[in-house]
Amino acid sequence: MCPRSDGLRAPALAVRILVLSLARDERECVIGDVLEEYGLRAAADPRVARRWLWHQVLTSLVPNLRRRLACHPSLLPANRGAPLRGLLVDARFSARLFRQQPLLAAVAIISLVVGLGVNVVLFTIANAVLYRPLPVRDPQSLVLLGMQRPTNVAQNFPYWAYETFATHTEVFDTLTAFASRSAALRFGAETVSSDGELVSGTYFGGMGVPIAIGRGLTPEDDRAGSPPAAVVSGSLWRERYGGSSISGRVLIVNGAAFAVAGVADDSFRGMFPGAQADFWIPLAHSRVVTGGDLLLRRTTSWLFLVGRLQPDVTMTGARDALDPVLAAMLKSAGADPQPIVVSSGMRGTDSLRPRLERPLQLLMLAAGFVLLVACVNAANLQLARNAARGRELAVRAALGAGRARLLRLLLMDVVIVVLPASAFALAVAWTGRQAALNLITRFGEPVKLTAPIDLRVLLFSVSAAAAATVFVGLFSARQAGRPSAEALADGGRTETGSRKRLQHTLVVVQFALSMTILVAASLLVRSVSNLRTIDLGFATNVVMIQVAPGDAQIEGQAAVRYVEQAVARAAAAPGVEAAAAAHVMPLDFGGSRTTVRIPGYKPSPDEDMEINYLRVTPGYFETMRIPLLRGRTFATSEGRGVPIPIVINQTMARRYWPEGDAIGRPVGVFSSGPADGEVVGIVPDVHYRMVREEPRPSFYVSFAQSPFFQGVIHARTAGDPAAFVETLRRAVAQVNPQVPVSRAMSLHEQRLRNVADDRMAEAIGVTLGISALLLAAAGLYGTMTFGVRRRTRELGVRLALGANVADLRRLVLGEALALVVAGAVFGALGSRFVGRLLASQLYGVPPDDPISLAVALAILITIALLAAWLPARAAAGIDPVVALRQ
Amino acid sequence: MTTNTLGEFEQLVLLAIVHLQGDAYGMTIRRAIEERTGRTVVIGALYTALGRLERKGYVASRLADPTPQRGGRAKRIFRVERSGAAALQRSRDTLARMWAGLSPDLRPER
Repeated sequence: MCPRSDGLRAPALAVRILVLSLARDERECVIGDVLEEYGLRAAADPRVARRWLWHQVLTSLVPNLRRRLACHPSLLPANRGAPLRGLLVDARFSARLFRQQPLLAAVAIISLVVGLGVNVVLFTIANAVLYRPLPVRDPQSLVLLGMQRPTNVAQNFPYWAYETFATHTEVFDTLTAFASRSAALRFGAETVSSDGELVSGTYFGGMGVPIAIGRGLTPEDDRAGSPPAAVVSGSLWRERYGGSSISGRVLIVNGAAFAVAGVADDSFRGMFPGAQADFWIPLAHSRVVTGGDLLLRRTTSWLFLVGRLQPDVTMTGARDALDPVLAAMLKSAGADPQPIVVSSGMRGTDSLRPRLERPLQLLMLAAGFVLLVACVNAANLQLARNAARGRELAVRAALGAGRARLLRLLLMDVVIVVLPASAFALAVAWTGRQAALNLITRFGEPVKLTAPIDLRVLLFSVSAAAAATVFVGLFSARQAGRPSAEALADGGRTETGSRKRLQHTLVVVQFALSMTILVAASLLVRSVSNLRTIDLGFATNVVMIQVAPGDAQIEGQAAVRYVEQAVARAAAAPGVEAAAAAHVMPLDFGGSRTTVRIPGYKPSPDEDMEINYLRVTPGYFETMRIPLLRGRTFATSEGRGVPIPIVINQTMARRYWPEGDAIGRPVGVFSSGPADGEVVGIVPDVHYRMVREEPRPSFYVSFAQSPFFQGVIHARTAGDPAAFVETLRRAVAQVNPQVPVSRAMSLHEQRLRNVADDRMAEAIGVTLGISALLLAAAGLYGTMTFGVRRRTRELGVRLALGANVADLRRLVLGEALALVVAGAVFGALGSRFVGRLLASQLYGVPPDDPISLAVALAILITIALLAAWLPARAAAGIDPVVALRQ
Repeated sequence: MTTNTLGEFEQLVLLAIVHLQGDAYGMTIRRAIEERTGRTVVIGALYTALGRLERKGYVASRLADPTPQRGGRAKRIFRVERSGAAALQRSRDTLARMWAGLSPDLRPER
C-alpha cells in the first residue's frame, strides 16, 4: 500500500493508523481525500506535508473511532446466518458500559486484574516449586528410595546399598546414586566455592539428562582408574569458559584436574529443586571432594538413590520386591530393621516440598478468596448495569428475542470485562513472575528457580478466568428470566427488594472473606515475630565464617592447626570479644547425628536413639555465652583420650538419667562396642538446627578429640555483628588464601534465613489480606456511590421532611457499616476454621489468638470507614429541590 | 441529537458545499473552510459532521469516479438538499434578527 502522488510517498505508518481508525465503508473516500491533499502539499514542501499528514491522522483518531464504534443496537433477533457479526454487535453494545458506568467498570476490571494476577503468580510459584517435574526423560517413572525411621524418612544410603539394589534389574531399568557437595573450583588465580553433584555412571544416561554440548558421564567414566571427566552447567560454562568449545578444557576441583566432557542444558539444574549444580563428577573420583573414600565406608549413608522402574513394575510392586532386600542388608550390618519407602522421583529429591507444600497450598486458598472478592466486585457491576436495563430487556423480549439471545447479551457484558482483565493479569504475571520468585530468594537460601509460563499455568489462568466469568454470569442469568410487562412500564427505576438483598449479601461476603484472610495474616505476623525474637539459648551478636581446609588438601594435623590459627586470628581482630569454632553453623537445618547407647537405659521400641551432636573448640561455650550448669567443659590441654569427654544438654540429662547425677556416667557415642564416652558437664538446651525445634537431647564433643576439617569460626563482637562481617571474613581468609571461605554472615542473618519460609508466608499472607480488603473496600465505595445516586429521590424526600445533613450521613454510613460488621463477624467465625488449618505453621501463637482477631478487626473497620466516608458525604450534599424533581 | 438548528461547524460545511458547486468532496470542503476562515479543520471531524448532516437529510452524497491523484480511490461528492438550504437560511435569519439594532462593534446602532 504505497500511495504515490507525484512520486512522493506518504509515511506508511501514518496511513496504516488512519486505515485502522476508520470504518470499512469510509476508508476509500477519506484516505483518498487525505492522500490527494498530501500530494498537493508535498509538491510544495514535503516536510511540512508530512507534518500536516500526521496532524490530520492523529487528531482524526477520536472522531473516526467514535464513528466506527457508534452503536446501532440490533433489536431484532440475531440472524442465524451471521452469528459472528451478531456477537460483534453485542460486544459493541456492551462496550458502552464503560462510558455509562466508568467508576464501577474501572473497579470491576482492576479488581479482576488483581484477583486473577495474584492467583496466576502464586500458581506459577507453586508450579515451579511443587509440581514441575525434572526436565529428564519420562520423569513419571522415576522413584526415590528411602528408609522409614521412627520420626522421619531417611533418604541416604551407603555405597554398597546402591550396588546391592542395582543388581535387581527386575525392578529397576536403571538405578543412579548421587550426592550434593560443595568444592573449591580454581580458575586461574581465583578460587571459588561451588555446589555440584557426585554421580554414578548411570546418572546421565539412565535419567536422560538433557545435554547442550558434548556428552554426559557414562559408566566408563565411573570406573576406578578411568581418566577423570566432568560435566559443567551452562551458566558456569558461559561465565568461566566464555561459552567456547569444550575440547581440551579442564575443570580444577579441589586441586584435581577433570576433563570437561560436556555441558548440561540450562533447563537441568541437578536433582535438588531450588539449587543449581555447577559441576557433576563420577563417584569413582569422589574422594577429591569428600576427603575420604566414602565408597568403601559401609556405615556412612551419604547417597540418594533414584531409579527408573521397569515398565511393568509399579511403586507398590517395587516396594514389595525391595523390602526383603533392604531387611537383609540391614541385618547383615547389625542394624535394626526398617521398611523401605518408595516415593516418586519425578522432582528429584523433592527437597522443597516438605518445607513449602503446606504454606503454598494455604496461600493459594487465600488467593482464591481474593479472586472471589474480585469477582463479587464484577458481579456488583453487573447488578448495577442490569438495574437500569429492565425496560430495554423487556423491549427486546417483546420484539422476539428468545431467552438464549438475552442470556448471550448479558453474558457478553461479563466477557467484555473479564477478557481484558485476564489479558492484563497474564501480562502482569508474565512480567512479575521472576520478581515473585525472587521474593523467595530474598527471604532465605537462594532458591534458584525458573518460572516459565508453561502449559499448566496457562491452563490454570484460563480456568480461573472462566470460573470468574461463570460466577459473575450467574448473576446476569437471574435477570434473563422473563422480563415482565411491569418492567416495560416503570422502566426499572425502582430498586427491587431482591436485588438490594443480593447486593447486601455480596458486601457481607466480601468483608467476611477479607476478615478471614486478615486474621490468618495477623496470626502469621505474630508467629514470625516470635520466631525472630525468642531466646535461642546463646548469644546472638556473633559473626560466623565457614571455612573448608579440606578443599585445599589441608588435612590431619595441618587442618587442626589451620582451625586454631583462624580462631586466634578472629579473636585478635578489633571489636571481637571472644572466638571459637564448631563443625557446623547453628540454625543451619543440618548437622551431625550419631546413635548413642546408654548403659542402664532401655529405650522404648520406637524411640529414636540417633541424636544430634556438635564438635566444638574449648572456647565455644564461653564465646556463645552458654552457661555451665554442672560439671566442667573441655580443657584446652585435653587431647585424644578414652573415655571421650562429652558435655550434654539438660534434656539429655533428664531423659537418660532421670534420677541421680549424669556427671561421670558412661555413654556409647561413636562405637557400637563398649561405651567410649563419659559425661563431664551439663549445659542448658539451646536451639541447634532450627528456631522452630522442640527441645531434644544433644551433646558436644571436643575438637581435640575428633578434629574437623571444615568448620565454622564463631566470633562474638562488642557491637552490631553486621559491621564486622567483612573485616572478619578477610582476616580469616588471610590465614591461608588457598582455603575457600564459603560463607560469612552474622547470626542474626542466619536466624532470618532459618525462618525464611515463615517470613515468606507472612509476606504473602499480608499482601493477600490487604489486597482482599482493598478490593472489598473499593467494591463498597463503588456500590455505595451507585446506590446513593439511585436513592437521590428518597434522600431528597428525607431532607425535605426535616432530616438534617448529619442524619443522612449517619443513615448511609450506618447501613454500610452494619454490612461490614456483619461480614467481619462471619469472617471471624470462618477464621477459627482457618486457624486450625494454620496451626501447624504457627509458632507460639494459639490459632484462636484474640489479639490477632482484634488487630484484623481494627484494620478492617478503619479501611471500610474510609471507603464509606466519601459516598456518605455525597449523600449529605444532596440538594432536596433538585432531588425531588428527578 | 436531532434538532432543527445547525451548529456553527455544520453551517460552515454546508456553506462550503454551496460554494463548491458540485465539486464538493472531503478534501475540497476541508480546504475551502480552512482558506476562508483560517480555522484548522480535521478531516475526521469533517466526516462526522457530514455524516450527521446526511442523516438529517440536509445533504446527499454520491460516489464519483476514482482519480490517479487519489491513488485510484473513488471520491464521495456532496450536495445540499432543499431542507439543508432551508436550514441554512433559517440560521442566517436567526442570526440577523439577533444582530438587528447592533453595529458590527456591538454598540447599539444610532
